[in-house]
Amino acid sequence: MMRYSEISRDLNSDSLHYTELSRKSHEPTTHDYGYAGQNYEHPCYQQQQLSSTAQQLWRCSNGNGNGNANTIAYIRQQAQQTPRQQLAASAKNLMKQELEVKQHVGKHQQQQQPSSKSLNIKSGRRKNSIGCLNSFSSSPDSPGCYYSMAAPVAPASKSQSLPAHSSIKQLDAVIMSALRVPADVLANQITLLDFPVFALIQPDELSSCAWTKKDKHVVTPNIVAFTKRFNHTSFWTVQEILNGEQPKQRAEIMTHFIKVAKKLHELNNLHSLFAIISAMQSASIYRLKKTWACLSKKDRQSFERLSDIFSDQNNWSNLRAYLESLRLPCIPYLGLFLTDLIYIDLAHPHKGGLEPEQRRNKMNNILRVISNYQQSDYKHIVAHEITQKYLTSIRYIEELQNIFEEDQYKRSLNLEPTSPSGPSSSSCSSKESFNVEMLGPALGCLNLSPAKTIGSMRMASGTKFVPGHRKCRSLGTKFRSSSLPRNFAQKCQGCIVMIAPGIGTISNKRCRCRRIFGKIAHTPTTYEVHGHAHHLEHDLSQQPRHHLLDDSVLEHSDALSTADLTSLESAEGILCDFGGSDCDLMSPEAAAAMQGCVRRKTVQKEGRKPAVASWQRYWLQIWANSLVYFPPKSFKGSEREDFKREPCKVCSLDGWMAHVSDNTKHKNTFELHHRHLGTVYKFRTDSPQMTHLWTNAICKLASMRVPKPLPANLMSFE
Amino acid sequence: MSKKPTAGPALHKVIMVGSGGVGKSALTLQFMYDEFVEDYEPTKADSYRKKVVLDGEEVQIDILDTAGQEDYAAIRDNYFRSGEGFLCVFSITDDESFQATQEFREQILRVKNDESIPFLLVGNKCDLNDKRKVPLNECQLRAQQWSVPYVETSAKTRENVDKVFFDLMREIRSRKTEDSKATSGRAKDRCKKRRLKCTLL
Repeated sequence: MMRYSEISRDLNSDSLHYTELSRKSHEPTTHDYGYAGQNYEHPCYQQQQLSSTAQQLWRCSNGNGNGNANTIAYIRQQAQQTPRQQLAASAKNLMKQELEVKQHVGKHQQQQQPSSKSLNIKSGRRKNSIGCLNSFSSSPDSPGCYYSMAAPVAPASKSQSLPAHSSIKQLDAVIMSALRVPADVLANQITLLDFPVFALIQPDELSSCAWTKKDKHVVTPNIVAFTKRFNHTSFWTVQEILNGEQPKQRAEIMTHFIKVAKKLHELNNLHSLFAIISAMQSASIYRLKKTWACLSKKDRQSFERLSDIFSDQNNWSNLRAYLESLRLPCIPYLGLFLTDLIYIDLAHPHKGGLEPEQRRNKMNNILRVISNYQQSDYKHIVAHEITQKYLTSIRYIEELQNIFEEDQYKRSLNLEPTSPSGPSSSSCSSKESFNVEMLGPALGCLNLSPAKTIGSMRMASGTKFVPGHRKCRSLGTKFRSSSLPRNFAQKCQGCIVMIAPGIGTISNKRCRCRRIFGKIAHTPTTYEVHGHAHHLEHDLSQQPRHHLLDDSVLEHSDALSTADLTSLESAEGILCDFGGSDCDLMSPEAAAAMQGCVRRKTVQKEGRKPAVASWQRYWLQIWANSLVYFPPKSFKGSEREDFKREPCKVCSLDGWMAHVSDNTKHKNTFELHHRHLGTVYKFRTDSPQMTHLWTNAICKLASMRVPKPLPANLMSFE
Repeated sequence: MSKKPTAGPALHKVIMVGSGGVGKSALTLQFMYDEFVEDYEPTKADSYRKKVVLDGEEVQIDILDTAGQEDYAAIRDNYFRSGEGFLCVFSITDDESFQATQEFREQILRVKNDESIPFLLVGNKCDLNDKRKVPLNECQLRAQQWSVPYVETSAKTRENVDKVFFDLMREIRSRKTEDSKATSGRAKDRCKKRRLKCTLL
């Protein structure tokens, strides 16, 4: 049975139904892909989009666009090699994302391209549009942009083997997110949807007390419909919050809903206000500690204040008092009256004949109050069709409520698992050397932490996560390297552990991922190196001028010439990848696994210098394409066990660039800056080598966002 | 939980759980008002609070019953959270209501995250034994699986009505004394730990 709110939007499907939301003028551009943008007709959306796009354009033109240029080069190359219809799915993805951006850009630059030949547009435009896409996440003040933070935008960070739908899914979320609609618009339109249903409720339905009985659909259809509106709003709220991949994003969505709740409170719509409050108190949301921790104190207080209204203490005395104090218009929370009616019915049963006076009086009191609320007038609110369409399109089927709730709870558990500690963490913190057997749990441990969401993001985008390299698992044996100098660990100054988790997304068979599980400590007792390094046969000491990772001859020796020889040797001791010759600097797998102790200082945050900046110690780890920060346990120590198991920050490397800074004051520093955010961090490591490795690793990952085109003689598996 | 032990008698918060129409509210009313149901006033703040003598000790019981709001699924989690003990009620004449108890139990455990939360499975309407749809052994089996007591009641004849509330209050009380022991122990531990840490630093 289809109900009014069950139309169109299937939360789980990849199809995009919202073509009708698009501007007609874009249709020629977008029809090719069955996809259309989300430009709302409402003036305020346009204004926001205009301003944000302008900001982004400004940023793009000022920022350095290396990554973007690469993407463009890639697209162009693809376009030249293949007829358009046969483009690989990934290229299609890129285009789709670009198309969306193009709509923004094209619209506001007044130079729309009506044709679908987006591949042929000038590279300058393309640069802008992609840059624009990348910088969506960088303007937090425009509601239109919130969601791109949740969905990892960068088309280039995906491998070519991704299924095409993954990015559509992301875009779907971008389009239909509640964050894209201002809070007051949402509250207004929710109220407009609520009120007619409420106004239809008949006194007979209320006095029948049949809304929980089997024939409720017949006897009390309007009460049932109104209750469904409540559950619908609540379900939608939970769903939207859970759409955020990371705590910060969820917190942002939550903040948005708190704003909606505040507005509903102003509108005296206690019905939907309670629905949203309940959603945030539901098992799925309430347990998200990390998300709640990301909320501002002010928002948390607002939430507490609003939820206090609905406290069940003292027979809902707060709610009763509050309702008394309100003036029309008001949509009350009906449930309270429903319970009262049930109790009156029970306490003063109608046993045929004349209705007992007490029953009649008490019931009539309630009916009178409700009918008074039904006189409310919300005509001053202008209906906004597109938002209403969005609100009613969320698929919710009352009968499947339990299943939906179960699903949401599972999703919640996935996002923030209950017990991040466990046997895995203890093995992970083991002071002894890493070995292959331990790698699994070690990765599992990371996987349970917030860093995990990165993994799941990758999974969501189609990459299968396999802990460890295939070979590593089949051949993995423990052995003590005989070719490594016995005391190399002692020599090493930087404490670094290299793990190549084998999650590189480029299916390059020549990838010479020689994972080295080196654990170097200052104590001579822990110099064991276990691992699956087949290629350790090289005599390390004989290769002083070759690159540490891939044997490329060091051309940047000027950077290293100042390095002290001891640490250079020691660093070489750890890094022993000699398989390939065509790799620049560092294999992505190796780069994806850097970790070590660093000190960090904020130089500039979002264009502003911080009032106080100090060096903070972190255990920094590259995980997938993000930096994971682990806070220190105590004041000193630079080894893994001196830092907490739980990361405190996870930052995607998208848009970040690193370079060694030639600071005379502090040695071994490198800088990390974001092209568009205007944020600059300074990092200090223990040795010039470490600094260099970090810089390389980060640059490598940043450039990896651009997938390399497959060589023509290699088959694509798509 | 939120009650200070110094302020008057101990307060035990009981939550009535179950599908619509199983007689939750009838049980509540019977227990609260007995034959003085005429005094019931739905909007009064203390309508669902009562002072009782539990094994010679005066305690207060606060019953939260959202009868009539069963279909407001979204509000459940929050009121489960505030509960200290649960009466999970079904009607022995209605198999669906018995099946629903499984979901209620799961939801409660999810929110409370505690397998041994004070909980009673209550088969109501036992005066209608001739219309019984849920066999007694099935009810007992389920209670056994959950390791909770099973009691059959009749709000109509008042059979076992006091018993279920008092049994539950006893469980809540013993649970609270356990908890307070555990927390004070933990607090001591914490002190110890802190002191240790200080000497380390």
